[in-house]
Amino acid sequence: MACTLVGINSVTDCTPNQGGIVKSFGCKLSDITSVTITAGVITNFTMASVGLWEEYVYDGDGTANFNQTGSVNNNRFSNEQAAFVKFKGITAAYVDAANNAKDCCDVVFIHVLANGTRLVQGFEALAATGAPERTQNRNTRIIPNVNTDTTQNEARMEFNITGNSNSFTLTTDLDDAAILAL
Amino acid sequence: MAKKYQVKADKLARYPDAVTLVVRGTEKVAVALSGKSVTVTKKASKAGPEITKSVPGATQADLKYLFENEKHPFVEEVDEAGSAMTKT
Repeated sequence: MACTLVGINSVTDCTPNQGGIVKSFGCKLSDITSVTITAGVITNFTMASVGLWEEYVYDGDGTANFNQTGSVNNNRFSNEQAAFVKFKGITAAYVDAANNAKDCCDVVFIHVLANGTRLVQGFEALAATGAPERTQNRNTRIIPNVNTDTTQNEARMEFNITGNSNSFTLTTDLDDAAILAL
Repeated sequence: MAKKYQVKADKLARYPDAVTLVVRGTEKVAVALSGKSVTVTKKASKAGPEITKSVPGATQADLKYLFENEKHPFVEEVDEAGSAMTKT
């Protein structure tokens, strides 16, 4: 993207801006055949078939987050993208989900923030409608943990969803119903 | 000459079950680009019972919407004989 500076004023009001993510939707990158971009926002996905987005509702205990950390090595910019979500308990279904998730090379997740914004992790930002490209510096993958921890703590399964890209994630205006209709 | 809208042959061959969203009235609904309904059944697993999802085939109005509003890369405008009217 070309160099442009856009002024920002975040001091217009004192509305609370709660951090964290409250739910996510995930699929394989190869399930997405085209992404529609309207004024820099994802307004549609074309999927290889129906029912490929999975909904993830994780623990609402204030631990889920999605962080993007930019860095420069000499003059080379990159963006480390890392989501963390946690599911209480350990069940056969969780172990099955973890074993299947670890084998996916490229995944895409739509993270729903507490303020309603939706960030799409897993492919490079697109300037125009077209097929998405994987995060260029490192594939976006799910790294699960299955931890019993100790009796003072909680048994849990965790997903770390990480990748490294050349750009920050785009937002989407699709609501839950639209995503799940696909 | 009358126009119609269709999915490009190479895209249809590669993604015969492709689905996307179109706006019908005020609602976004999923449609299958092939024009035929697509039904998928997910087998019962440890995560839950069997689920069947189905989306209807796209109509000419749906394809026109995708062509005109989204410049959708899979959809082309053709004359009644089926020849592409615009190079894409």
